[in-house]
This record gives sequence, structure tokens and C-alpha cells, in this order.
Amino acid sequence: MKKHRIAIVTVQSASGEVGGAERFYQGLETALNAAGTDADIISVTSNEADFDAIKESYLSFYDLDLSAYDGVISTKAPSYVVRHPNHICFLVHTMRVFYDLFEREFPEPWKELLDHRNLIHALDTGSLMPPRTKKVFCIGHEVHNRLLKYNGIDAEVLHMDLAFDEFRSGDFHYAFLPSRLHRWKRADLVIRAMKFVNRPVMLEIVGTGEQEAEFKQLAADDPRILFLGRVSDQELVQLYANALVVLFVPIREDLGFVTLEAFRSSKPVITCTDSGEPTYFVKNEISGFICPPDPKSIGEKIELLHDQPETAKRMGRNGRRSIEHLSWKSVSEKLLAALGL
Amino acid sequence: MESRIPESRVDEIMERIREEIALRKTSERQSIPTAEPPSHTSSQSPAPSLLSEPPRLPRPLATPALPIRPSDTLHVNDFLGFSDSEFLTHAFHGVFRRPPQPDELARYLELSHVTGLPHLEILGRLRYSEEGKRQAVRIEGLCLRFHLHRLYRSFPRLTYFIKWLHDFILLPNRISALRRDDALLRNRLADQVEILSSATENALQTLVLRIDDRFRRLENKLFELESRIDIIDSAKAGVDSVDPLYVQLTELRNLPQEMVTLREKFARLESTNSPQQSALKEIQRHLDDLGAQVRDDSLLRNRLADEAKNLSSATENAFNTLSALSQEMFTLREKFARLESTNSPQQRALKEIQRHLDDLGAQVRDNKLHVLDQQRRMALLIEEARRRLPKPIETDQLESMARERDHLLDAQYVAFEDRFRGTRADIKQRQSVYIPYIKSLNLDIKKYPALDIGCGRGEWLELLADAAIHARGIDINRVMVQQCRERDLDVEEADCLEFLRRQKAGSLSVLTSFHVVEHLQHDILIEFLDEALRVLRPGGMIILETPNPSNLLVGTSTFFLDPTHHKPINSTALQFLLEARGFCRPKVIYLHPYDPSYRLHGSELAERISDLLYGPQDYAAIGYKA
Repeated sequence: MKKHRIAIVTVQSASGEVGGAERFYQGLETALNAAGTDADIISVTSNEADFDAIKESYLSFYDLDLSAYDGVISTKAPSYVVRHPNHICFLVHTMRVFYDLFEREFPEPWKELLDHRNLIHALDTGSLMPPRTKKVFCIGHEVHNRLLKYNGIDAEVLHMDLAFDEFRSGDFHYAFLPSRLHRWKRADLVIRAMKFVNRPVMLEIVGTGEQEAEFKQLAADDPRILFLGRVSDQELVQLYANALVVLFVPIREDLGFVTLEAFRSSKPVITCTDSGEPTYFVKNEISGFICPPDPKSIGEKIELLHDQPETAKRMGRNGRRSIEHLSWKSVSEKLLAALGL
Repeated sequence: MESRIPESRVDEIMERIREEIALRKTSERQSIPTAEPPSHTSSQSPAPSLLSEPPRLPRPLATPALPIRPSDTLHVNDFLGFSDSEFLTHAFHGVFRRPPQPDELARYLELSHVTGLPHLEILGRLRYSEEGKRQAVRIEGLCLRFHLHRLYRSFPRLTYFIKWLHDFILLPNRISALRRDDALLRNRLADQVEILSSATENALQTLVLRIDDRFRRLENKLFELESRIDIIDSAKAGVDSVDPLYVQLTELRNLPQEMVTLREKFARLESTNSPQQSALKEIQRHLDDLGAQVRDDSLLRNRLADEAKNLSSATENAFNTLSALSQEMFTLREKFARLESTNSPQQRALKEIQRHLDDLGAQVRDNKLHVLDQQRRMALLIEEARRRLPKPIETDQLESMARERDHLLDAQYVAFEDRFRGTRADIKQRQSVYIPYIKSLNLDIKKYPALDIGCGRGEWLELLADAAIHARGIDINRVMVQQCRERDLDVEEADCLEFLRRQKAGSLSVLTSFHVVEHLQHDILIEFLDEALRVLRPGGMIILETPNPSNLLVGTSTFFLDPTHHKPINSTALQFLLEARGFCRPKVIYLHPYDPSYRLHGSELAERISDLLYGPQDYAAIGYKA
């Protein structure tokens, strides 16, 4: 029998940045191919420099000829404006600057800007509805809630697995913070939390970023805090394996593979009430802690886990069990079922 | 418009966008004559960004193409002012309404180049050829000028006069034409200068930005390189310093012991030493920090040995901290020595107090002996009384006597607990793990309270009270009950089975019992579990904490510290018993491992032995009533 051809339509940013989304596309392609289809990633460069560029982006996806494929899975904005009779969307996100970040970015919007926003809303809502899109899945509850609030579309949350899985569990030594050093990821919150940790426990930080110098300055007088910079995948696995607890405290994260990586390594995760998707994975006091975003509460939990390594181990085990059901196989099955292939 | 289904608007909006973009592109192409043709690849070409693309300089303006409109009237000037080949193409188009054949082109080019025939004359020849006459295109101004030219070429002697006459007649025209051309040229020049200067400015800006960017990147690279060099340096230093580090570390391992002694001495000094107290506190804090840091460093050492990778950065840190530490330690010791030597009046006072304390201790020992003696006598007396009673004693009298006998050792047990069980704060901290379990129950605890059997000194009851959980306790030990009451806790002196039998079925939501079951005979334990199940509400829970004999030190030694212990209970056995007596979802949680610093590392064997010796010392079996 001939294999069904499936196009995964993705958006490549004009700056060429590679992040979690690219690992997601790879995982998706691999999973669909493993399920016996012939899947391709169709990547189109998109420029979001100004509104004219955005409109051109929309048009270039709208004009994309995908007639050679039996099914199309779109991903990020604006890939879902593609025209194909058998089209579903596995939404990574819409253009957040026209949605939840709009008010923050433009506290006093002018009329033209409001028109732009209305146009994007109309295009997104229209494109993501049947018959243009047969079904919408999304990567997490944050995205789901936004889509429901602004577009009135009730997408199905589909959590995927890690694309790379060598994670294992070792000893329970130090608090571990794998994080891009950016203000949205709030490493400073954890660094400040260490001031409330009156125990000989290390904080090891992996990652680089815009606020690196600032954070290092903040941690300067605490010899327990180590910045390890960028590390290889093997080192990352090792660092996860021997951590006592993994800290993941971003502001309203859409997905965040850190939680999954920590749980795969059987580590408890401390996250914050406003961290977004991680709060759907971490069960408070069972597989970690969901703290209010203040250093003292976080510090207390680090102390607690240091004093009770048994608790840390138990929580880590619970975490690992809680994500055992995640698999790319079930993701590809759901997508193919929705495509009717 | 708003009322329409959004889905149907998409096409409409997209088409509008398509038009807008097309319009914008055309206007861009007109305003910048060199704009590239629109690409038809799927990846669209965005507006040029200053950083990502090289700047485009507009090319100088090309000569505008001749608009050949055969129906219009042409003027001879329309054809003049071009290069040879351009002129020929235009001329053929204009006069014959067809492009020149290659051979024709070659012939006329040769004519123009070699014989220097002016364009005007070529045009005339074309126009007045057979073919030209057939086409009969009207070209204003050609006839006269062409024939004058011919005349001039055929009668060279007449030329000066004719030329002069011709020029003279045409002078005003020429001047005005020149003026017109001049103005035109000036305008064009101005335009070009403007375009060029703006383009140059753009290009310059872009260049500056790109240079800035490059510079930044270079700076980053440099930074990175420097940090790499640092890492290499520190790795080198780390490798060199590992050996002395080990020696220092082993020395430092003895520090805690030394510190304990120091701290004890301090405590004594501190109590008599108000003027020195602030200094002492300072030193105390230093010592505490030091303690934490020393522990910290032993942790570091393990990791050092394990991971050669982390050596490079971690070693240096540890080394610095350690040398700072030993320095600090040294100064502290010195300070302390100085303090001690300058403190003779206080020392005298101390010695005085010590003597008092010794006296008191002796008295306490005496009292204790005395009390023990009293106890023995009491026991004898009771025994004697029992024997001497004329008639058989009633059962309840016997029981109460027996009970009194039981209580003879109550005080001693309290002392025992105080010595071996741990401080109130310790116990409370350990027991706080259970609070979340209690809170997760879906029962009205106000109505159906919690009961702690063998509440001892009441730490758990206090924890529950702090968490606003309604609870009471019972204990068989009178002294303990008294202590609890002094703390305003709701405690009754009672035997557990008797008390449970008195309770109504389903009247309690939680039943806890810490370190009680190991005191019970097996059959009593079974009865206890059965009664517990009866008095719990459906959904209620039981928590039984007991020493964990799977820990070798507990199972072989510490369990037997308490002479009233009956038998260690294996966790699997207790879990099974809960299930067997009707509790559901039974589970075991392991608690209170030794401090991790006890653990041995370095091999699987070491880890396994550490698990056996320093693993959890207690466990709790938890069950729920269905």
C-alpha cells in the first residue's frame, strides 16, 4: 500500500533561532514516520518585523501549494492559514503580541494598531475553524486557555514526550536550575531564594542569556551558587541525574521541557503558581512544590527537601510515574485519527 | 460585516492583503527604479532589514527608452542623441516599423563608424529610401535638415556660407533649447545627487550597524575565549591543588569535633559573660557558618572525587573557600585563646557555678536513689498488704492495685524518653510530614476528631492544634498525661484497648499511634487494629509509626534501647496486617534516615552498605477505612 504523505508546516523565524519548537517538529516528524506515514517538514521563513511583513507572512502560507499531500498539520502562527481539504492544527502558539501580551506591550494602543489586532483575530479565528481546519490540538493548557478566551476555540491539549530521552536518576545532591538566563525565566528568584536556605546545599545553574551578568552579580557573595554556562547533552543528563531538586520558575511558560526532563530523571520540581504549564505537570507536595513566586517560600522548600532526601526521592518517583503515559506514539495516533489516515 | 461567519471572511481578507502587497510592491518599484522583480519562491522576500542584508545602492539613471508610437508624429530630435546601435534600432523601428536585419545593422554601423556619416544623414537616407517612402512616416524637421546636409556634403565650397546661415537662423532656437536642456540636466543632477546621498547615508548607517554588530560579536568571542582561558587556568590550578586539598580536607574533617568542644566552652563562657556576649555571639555565628561550610565542603569533596569534569571549576572554588576557612579558623582559635586568657574573673565565677552544679548533681543522684528505694519499699508493702488481707480481694481492687504497680515506672519512662526519643522540636519536625495526609482527608474533623494513642509528651497533638485540626490523646503513662495537661492538651489517662472499646463506631476520622505497636503482644495488636477499624469513619485513616528493623542498626541495637519494647515489626508484615484486618490502600512510608554525612561512597558496595546501616530508621504504615 502506498504511504500517506503528510506535510508538517512549520515557521522558521527570520533570525534563524533554534529552540524547543524545533525539537518539537523533529519529534513530530519522527513519530509520524514511525507510524508508517511519509511525513515532511515544510519550513517557511517568516518575518514579524512589522505589520506589512506579518501580512506577507500570512499570504505566503495562504498561497502554499500543498496539493501533493494527503494531510497537512500546521503548527505555529501563521502556518494554519494554509488551504488544504484535510488540514488539522497542532498549535504551538498564535502571535502572542496580538493576544495576551498586547496590553503589556501597548498600554495605549492607537486605532491602527487595534485594527491590526482585529484583523489578526479575524484571520486566526476563521482559519482555525472548520471547514478550514478539521481539528485543533494544542501543546498545553496555557495555549488552550488563550485560544478559548480570545478565539472561542476549544482545542484539545496534547502533551508530547521529550524528543531526546537519555535521562536517568543518580544521587540527590544539589538544587539544579537549567534555564536560559532571561528575565522571563526568573533565575534571580532562585538565587534570592538561596539567601533563605540555611543549609549546605549547592545551587548549580546551567545556561546563558541576556541577564547573565546581572544574575552572576546577584549571586556573587554566595559560594554555594555555581554558574556552569552552556553544557553538552551528556553533561546535562549527568547534572539532572545527581540533582536533589530541579527549579523551574518561569513566568507563564507555554510548555517547558524542563519539567519533563526533571521527572524523567526522577527529581522533584519546584515551580511557581504563575509559571504556567509546569503547574499542570507538578502536583503540589506529591511530585514537587508549587510555591508563590517569592524567594522565601522557594527557599523553605529547598531546605525541606535537603532535610528529607527521602521525600525528594519519593516526589521524584511520583513525578516519573506521572509522565509515564506520555508518548509520541499516542500523539501520532491522535493526529492521524483526526486526519482520518 | 461583523455578523458574518469569520471563516468566510478569511478569503476576503487574504485577497485584500494580496492586493495591498501588490500595490505596495509596484509603488516601491516606481519610487526606487532598481527594485528587484518580485520573487515567486515560497519564501517571500521581506523588506530589506538593515542588519541582515547588504545595502543596495541605486544604479545611476539609465537613458529612458524611446517611446516609439508609430501613430504619433515624430520629430527628428526624437532620434538623435543615442549611441550608434540604439539609434539604428530606433530609426528602423521609426521609419520602417521593423527591427533592423543583422546585415543591415552591420552595414549602417560601418557607415557611421568608418565614414563618420552623421545620424541625421543616416536617418534621412532611411526615410527617403524606397522602403522609407513606402512607409511614409512623417518626421518633423527631417526633410530640411537632411537636404541641407546633403547639399553641404555635395558642395563643400558652399559650406561656410550655408553653415553660417543655418546657424544664424537657428541661433535663437539653439539658445532656448540649450537653456531647456540645461535646466533639465540640472534637475536630473539634483535628483541624482539626492538619491545618491540618501542611499549613501543609508549605506553608511547600515555599515555602522553592521560594524557595531561585528564588534559586539567579536567582543563576545573574546569574552568567551577569556573565560575559556580562565577555565583552563583554573583546571590547571585545580589539578595542582588537588593533593594539598585532600590533606586539608582530612584535616578539616576533624574540625567539627574541635568546634563542638569550642562551642561548649563558649556556651559556658557566654552564660556568665554579659560584656563579652556580643563578641561571643559574633564568634558563635562564625562558628555556625564554619560548620555549615565544612559540611558543604565534605559534599564538594565527594563530588570532586566522582566527577573529574567538575574539577576545573569546583576545585578552585572549594580551594579558595577552604583556605579562607582554615584562615578564619586560625584567627578564631587565636581570638578564643586571647579571650580565654583575659577572662580570669569570669573563670572564677564559672568554677563557682560548676561547683554548685556538681553539688546539685550529687543531690539529684541521692534523690533518685531515694525514690528508687521508696519504689521498692512500696512494691514490697503492696505485696505484703495483698498477702495479709483476710479475704480474697475483689477483682477490681486487684486490678487497681495492679494498675498502681504499673505506674511505679512511669517517671522513669519519661526520663528514658527524654534521653532517647529526641527533643520536642525534633519530634515535631519529624511528625510534620503527616500533616498533609491529615489535611487531604475529606472528612469533617471537627465533628469526628483525631485520636492519638500513646500521645507521650503531646508533640503531635500540638502540631495538630497548630494546624487547627481537632484532636485528643490518650496515654497510659500518668506523668506524660500530666505533662500534656500542663500544655492545655486534651489528654486522658487510659489503656488503649479499653478506651477504644468505649468509643462509638465511626466516631473518629484519624487514628495515630507513634511508637506504640512495638510495645504490644501480637494478639493485642490484632485487637487494637480491629477496634481501630470499628471506630473510624469510612474514609478515615490510621497512621502507625514504629522503628524500622530493616535498618540493621535499628533491628540489632537501637530497638532494644527501650526495655518495654516487645518485638520489632517488619514493615511488610505491618502493611499486610493492616490489609488483613480490613484497611484499604495500605502503604508504608520510610522515615528518618541517618544524616547523609554518615553515608559511605565510592562503590556500589559502599552505597548498599550505607542503605542497610544509614537508611530509614522508622517507618509509618498507613491505611484507610473504605
